[in-house]
Amino acid sequence: MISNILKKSNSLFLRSTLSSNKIINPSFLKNSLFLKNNNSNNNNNYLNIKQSYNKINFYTTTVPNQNEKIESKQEQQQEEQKPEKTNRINDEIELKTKILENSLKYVNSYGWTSEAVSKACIDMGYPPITQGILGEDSPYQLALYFVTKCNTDLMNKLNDAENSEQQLLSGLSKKEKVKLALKLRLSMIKPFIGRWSEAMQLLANPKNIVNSSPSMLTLVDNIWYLVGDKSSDFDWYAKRGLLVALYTSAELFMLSDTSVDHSNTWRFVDDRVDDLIKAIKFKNDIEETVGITLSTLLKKIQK
Amino acid sequence: MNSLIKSTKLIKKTNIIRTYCSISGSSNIKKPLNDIEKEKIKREIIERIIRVDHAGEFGAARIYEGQLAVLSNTKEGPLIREMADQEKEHQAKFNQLIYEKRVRPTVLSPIWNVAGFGLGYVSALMGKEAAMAVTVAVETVISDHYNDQLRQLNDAGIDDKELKETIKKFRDDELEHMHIGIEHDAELAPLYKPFSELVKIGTKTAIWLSTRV
Repeated sequence: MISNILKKSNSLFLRSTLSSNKIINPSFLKNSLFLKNNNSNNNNNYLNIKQSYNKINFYTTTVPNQNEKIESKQEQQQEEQKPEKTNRINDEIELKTKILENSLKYVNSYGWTSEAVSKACIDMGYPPITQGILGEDSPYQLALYFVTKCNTDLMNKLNDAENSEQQLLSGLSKKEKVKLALKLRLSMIKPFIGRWSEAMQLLANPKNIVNSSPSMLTLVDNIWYLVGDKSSDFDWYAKRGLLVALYTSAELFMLSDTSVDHSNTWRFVDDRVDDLIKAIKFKNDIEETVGITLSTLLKKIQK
Repeated sequence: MNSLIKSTKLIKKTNIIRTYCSISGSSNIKKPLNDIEKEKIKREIIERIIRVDHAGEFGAARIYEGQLAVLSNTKEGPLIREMADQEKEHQAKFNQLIYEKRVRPTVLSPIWNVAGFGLGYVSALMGKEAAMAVTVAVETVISDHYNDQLRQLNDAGIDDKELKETIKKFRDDELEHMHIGIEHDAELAPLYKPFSELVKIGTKTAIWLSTRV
């Protein structure tokens, strides 16, 4: 209880300092707290994820961080300092992704909680209050980050022409492609399967659902894009909606799946994808027959 | 020197006050855009253009199909079929763009499907002049709209050669259809003026809706 209050006040403190002054630069933060930065990870690793994290904010309509908003407003009035400031925004995003990436290590022991994030902060040589940079709801940010990361990973894996998975994908039928993509994506949450229900809960929380639904939609959209589905009428929506339902139910099934190597889940996915394709075919057949009968009717009326 | 420092300090202070004011209440001050936001706006413009054009070509193809259902055996049949084929080509092009650029198609396509066919069918029943009048009205609005889009693309500084070329080519095609309509006595249709105005308003509403939904 007390620790929670402390954490809140800490994050509030950090936010207030961040917003009142322009101390967004993490290096400044480090210097001011006399802390050594002892992580020697190369930045290239984070570059991809950083971009994807950028992309979340790109897709969602909400403003990611109030600090950034303030900063961007100041940008207009002080145009000379513009390049420096955009750098600062990038630095901040980089720091966020680094913290979140490191927190994933602690998820299995601490769950999708602020404890995991604060552990990661300590690991990186920052004080635990640094998690205030993520906003008020760091557990949710962690879960969202993981989901986004998995989505981009899947896209990169299947979209790169040089990758072996892509070659796997190239020879398959549509149905098999959907199955493969779904299985790959589901296997990405395997390491956290024991704690995954908590993350699902966080993501599906009514207060977060507006921010987390774009990640689900991008996943589904990516899968249909990779499959090469070129429907551009109402089918577009039907396919995506059905796949969202399918993927969520598969995740739920996976939670309670105790079979070796999740073989039951894979069978579940196979069956459901078959059903999905059947349903779409059935719908198209109905449309076609209705169209033909209508046109013949029209011709008879004319005569 | 001192005065300079003072003035800069003052500016900073007012800036901070302004930002706080704008957060708490009115946000009428124009926000500056960083690169991400700029990209976002450009992307949105492209999405809107492709979405509405796709819907428009789909609707146009349906109108011609509706007309063909009545007029296929008349003198104008082959002509309408030719225009319908051209619209189908356009539609295929935008289908491809929707897939490649990953744009969400409009939700209203089932409505345009029925409404387009109905408009074509009913106008053809009213006579070939009325059918041509519909063609002229719709194509006028669409070609104007294509011109607007080209202007919009230029204003936003979007360098998308493929899209621009496509729009230009299709605009010329639509203008050609309009001229064909006028040559084939569109203006002799009963109640030409009010009828074509009605169709124009309908088309504009459809465009407005398809851009957004």
